[in-house]
Amino acid sequence: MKNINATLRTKETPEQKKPILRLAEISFAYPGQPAILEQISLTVCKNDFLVISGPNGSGKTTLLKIILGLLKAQKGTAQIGGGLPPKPVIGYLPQKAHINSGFPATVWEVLTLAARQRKNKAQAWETMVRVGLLTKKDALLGTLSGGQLQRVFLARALLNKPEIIILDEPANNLDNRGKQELYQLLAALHQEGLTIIAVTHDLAALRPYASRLLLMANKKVTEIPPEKWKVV
Amino acid sequence: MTKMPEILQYEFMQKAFIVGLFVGVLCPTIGMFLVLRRLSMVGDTLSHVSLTGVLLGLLWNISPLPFALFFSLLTAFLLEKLRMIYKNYAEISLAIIMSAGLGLAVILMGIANTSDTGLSSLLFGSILTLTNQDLLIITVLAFFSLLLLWGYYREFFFLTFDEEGARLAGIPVERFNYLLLFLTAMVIALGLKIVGALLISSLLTVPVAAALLLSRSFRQTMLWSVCFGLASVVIGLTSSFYFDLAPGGTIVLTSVIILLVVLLSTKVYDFFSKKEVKSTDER
Repeated sequence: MKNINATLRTKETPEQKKPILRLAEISFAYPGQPAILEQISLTVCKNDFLVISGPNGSGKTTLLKIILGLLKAQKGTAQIGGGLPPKPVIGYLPQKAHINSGFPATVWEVLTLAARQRKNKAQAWETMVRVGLLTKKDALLGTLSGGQLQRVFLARALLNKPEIIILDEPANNLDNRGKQELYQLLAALHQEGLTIIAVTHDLAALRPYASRLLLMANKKVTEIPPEKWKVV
Repeated sequence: MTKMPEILQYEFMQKAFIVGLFVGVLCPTIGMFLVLRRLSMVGDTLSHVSLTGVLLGLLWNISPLPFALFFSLLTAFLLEKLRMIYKNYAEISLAIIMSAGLGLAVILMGIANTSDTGLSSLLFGSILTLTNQDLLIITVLAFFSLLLLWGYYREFFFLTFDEEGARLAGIPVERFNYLLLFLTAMVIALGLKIVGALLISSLLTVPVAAALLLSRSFRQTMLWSVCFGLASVVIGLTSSFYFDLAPGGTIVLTSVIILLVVLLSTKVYDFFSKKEVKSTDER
């Protein structure tokens, strides 16, 4: 597992080290509540596989939502891409809990209708093959296993050929096999050049695939240098 | 030349069927998005408030349909505003508006001094009260609603499936939430005359509930909902004509009977398919 990280780091080129996301002095508080994030600064470079972990309520999902533009920070700036249009496309895999798994729709319908692009069937087909869902094309969401469902949402996040994908607890409700399959797929996507930002509680299992590790606690983020990863 | 069936020889029945067919298609289509977003009760609230509009129309001797429509649309707008205030208790906004609407309707009923027949036709529907002007308004609005649903099918699907994802994809979520409520308000006002204020909202949910039992895909669920909605309206109106019953009651009861038949059939099918699997296993 250690080798994977080593290989990825040696493969880095100046082009890949180009910053793709910059957060500067971000502070955020939900209305009527104390600040959850304070002066967070973070730079993510192209092809980083950034894993963010931390205790419940430390602001991990809030940080992701600020990056995605779903929440606006009270202080600081979040800059995606070089600051000039076009902005890089971001794919998002939300926490499964927000989505009704019994929704009466097939995998194909979700990928062709609940997607950013209108009616790009060829791309939906290609993505389905990529995540190994082709045999489940006409299956209802309610009949899928946790792992397959997570693949559907990952496929949706990948549909528009994003440069960055943001994953919120991607291993939620997955058994060990499902987790391993998902992580290996992420590792393969990373090798193909995708920038990945993942928030997880399952640090031990995702760590071997990561290129950077961040811990969130007490309203701050701390980057853990690779030599100390074992201690975390 | 084949003779037209007796029921279709009467002009009032022709009008009732035209309106019924529009309502039979529109109610379950819009209802599907409401049910899947757990907003089934929105229909009840809107229909109770639209009653106030109808009564105001009667009181001022003006066609009640535009009034019902105006009140439903106003309610839809207020509902969304209240939903934003009570973010964690969405149903409170329904309770508040329904109480206000019904309270006002009860007072207006007293002032308008509506006859018993007038009142029951408002509450339970009537096939005799449709005017040519109503028919024109209903046809135009129904076509407009169908066009909107057709054009924004993907947006409504996305919003129903995953509101946050839709927002991220750049869909103006608030605008579409209003649009869905406005369409609901519109279809309620359209169906008010033949199905009645108390029962119109059932057509938004019962055919969808039956279709969900058969669903193999979203599109199929929607098609089944529309089939069940249309069957309920056609059978309901026909039995209302022949047995001299309130059409609202016969339409809604037909939809409930369809639901029960579907429920029973799926149970029987499941029972026999399990038995078949068991006997194959034993072999």
